[in-house]
Amino acid sequence: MKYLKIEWLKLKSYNTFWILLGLYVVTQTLVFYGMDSFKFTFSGEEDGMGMDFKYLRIFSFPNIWHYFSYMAGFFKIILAVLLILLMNNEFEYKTYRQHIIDGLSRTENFMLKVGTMLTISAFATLILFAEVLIFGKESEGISFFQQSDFALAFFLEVLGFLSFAFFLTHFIKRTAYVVVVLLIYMIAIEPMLGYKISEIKDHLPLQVFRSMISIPFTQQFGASVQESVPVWHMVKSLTYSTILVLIAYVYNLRRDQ
Amino acid sequence: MSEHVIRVDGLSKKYKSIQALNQVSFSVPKGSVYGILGPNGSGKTTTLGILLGVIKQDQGAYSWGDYDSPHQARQNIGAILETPNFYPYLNAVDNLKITASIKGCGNTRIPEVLKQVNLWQRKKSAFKTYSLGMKQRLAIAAALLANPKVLVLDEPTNGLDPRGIAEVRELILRIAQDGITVIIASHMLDEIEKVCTDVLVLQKGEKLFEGQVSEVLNQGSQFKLGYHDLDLLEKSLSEINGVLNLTRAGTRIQIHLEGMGPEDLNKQLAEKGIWLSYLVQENQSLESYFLQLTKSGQS
Repeated sequence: MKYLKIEWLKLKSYNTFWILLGLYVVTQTLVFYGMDSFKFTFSGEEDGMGMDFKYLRIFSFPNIWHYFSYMAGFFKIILAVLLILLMNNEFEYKTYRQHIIDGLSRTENFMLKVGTMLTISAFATLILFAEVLIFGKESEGISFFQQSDFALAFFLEVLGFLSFAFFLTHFIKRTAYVVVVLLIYMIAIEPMLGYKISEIKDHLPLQVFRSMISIPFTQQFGASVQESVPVWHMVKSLTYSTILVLIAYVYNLRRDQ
Repeated sequence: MSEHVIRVDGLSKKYKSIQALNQVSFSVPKGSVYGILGPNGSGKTTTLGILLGVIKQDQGAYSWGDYDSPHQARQNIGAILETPNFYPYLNAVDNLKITASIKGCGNTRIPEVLKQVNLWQRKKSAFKTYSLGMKQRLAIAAALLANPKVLVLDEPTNGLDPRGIAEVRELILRIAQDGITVIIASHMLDEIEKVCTDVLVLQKGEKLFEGQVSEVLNQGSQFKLGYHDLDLLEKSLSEINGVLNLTRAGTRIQIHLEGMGPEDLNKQLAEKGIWLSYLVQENQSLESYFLQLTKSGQS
């Protein structure tokens, strides 16, 4: 409780935090709202071959869990920027240091930030639930929770991505640099490594986090579609997160603040 | 209950090639105002940083007298290290609420400490709108929040104007009267001289001196003498055993005495037919003692 209170006091009047969080919710909601009107043709002509999302029955249970969890995965970058900002503020204002001077142990101080990361991930998952609740169209004989394991995978995906950002902030001390390094790694380095050395492709961290939920739209071409998330894949993702956080923890214990 | 609020044993710290602290040991008596004195870069902040848990020492140990763990001790002491560190977008009260929840001391004393440092009028302004002096005063307020038995202040008058410096000095003396032990690091000698009972002198990470300030101030038996014929006085003085460091200071002559008191001196001069028009004993200032120490430390 004490720790929640400390973090809440910092956040409640921090406008940037609420604006970014608001943007996350609003843009994601807009995309969900308009998702079934999305269509494109390969040739660019109106009646050419292509995709039309309105045939996908995106909002029907149980499919909605897969579609929404997959799409929400694109917005996790906003959450990562949010976390990086909050972490770097503490380093820049030297309040992270001051907390130790004021009496937190190094472990407590570190766990405060891990708590923030978990809370953001849980919040994103909660929003996903709310969106499913709002947009979902009931289908006969199908329960609300069928295939809701996609939401759990989404939670782990966000947590994984955030722990990667969390890890970076411990080694790079400027918000802008961390964000740029994260983007470069995500867009260029990891995919390139994956292509060059195909044996490790499926074991690179961001790939592990992201590939828990495979792309759902291919069903229109008759491809088989993922119906559940393998437990071992979730365990692997959680293990990666844990390792990243542990490295940051050990580094944090040893260095001068 | 121990007699010392903290005992420090053989602290060493190296930053790459610079030896910031070398085997420094000291202990701070309960109820003292303990000054850590030294020029910039002498290891004051490194010492306090280690004692406050933010810097890891390479060697040595310390223990805060009455507390089991270092972080428990830190909760119960008030400390400022280098700069005042607060959330710029939060006002004074909200910033202190965060300090209070870390220290686990409740919010009841917030108005009291803000009044104590004259920030009550500005309690609703964001920290970023404060002047440097106000920021420093808020840091002092935060340090006082948990009603600490020990207060650690690193250069507390940094950035303050002369009135602010005088105010902080009074505050420290008032705090000390309440029986709170104050540890204060400074490179300003008269700051230490005016408030401290004990002093530790550091230079280039080495301990040069530790002891009571009164000891230092009484140590010197420095005298100023006057006579209408200074040349004659100077010549006569140079013939007396026990007169050291003879220098002219304007219309006076300044000397140190060793192994004799002022009566003896007066008598011997009278025997030479010199009747002094001026004889005053002066306390050695911390400044001259400090300069003497650091000079010998360099050679």
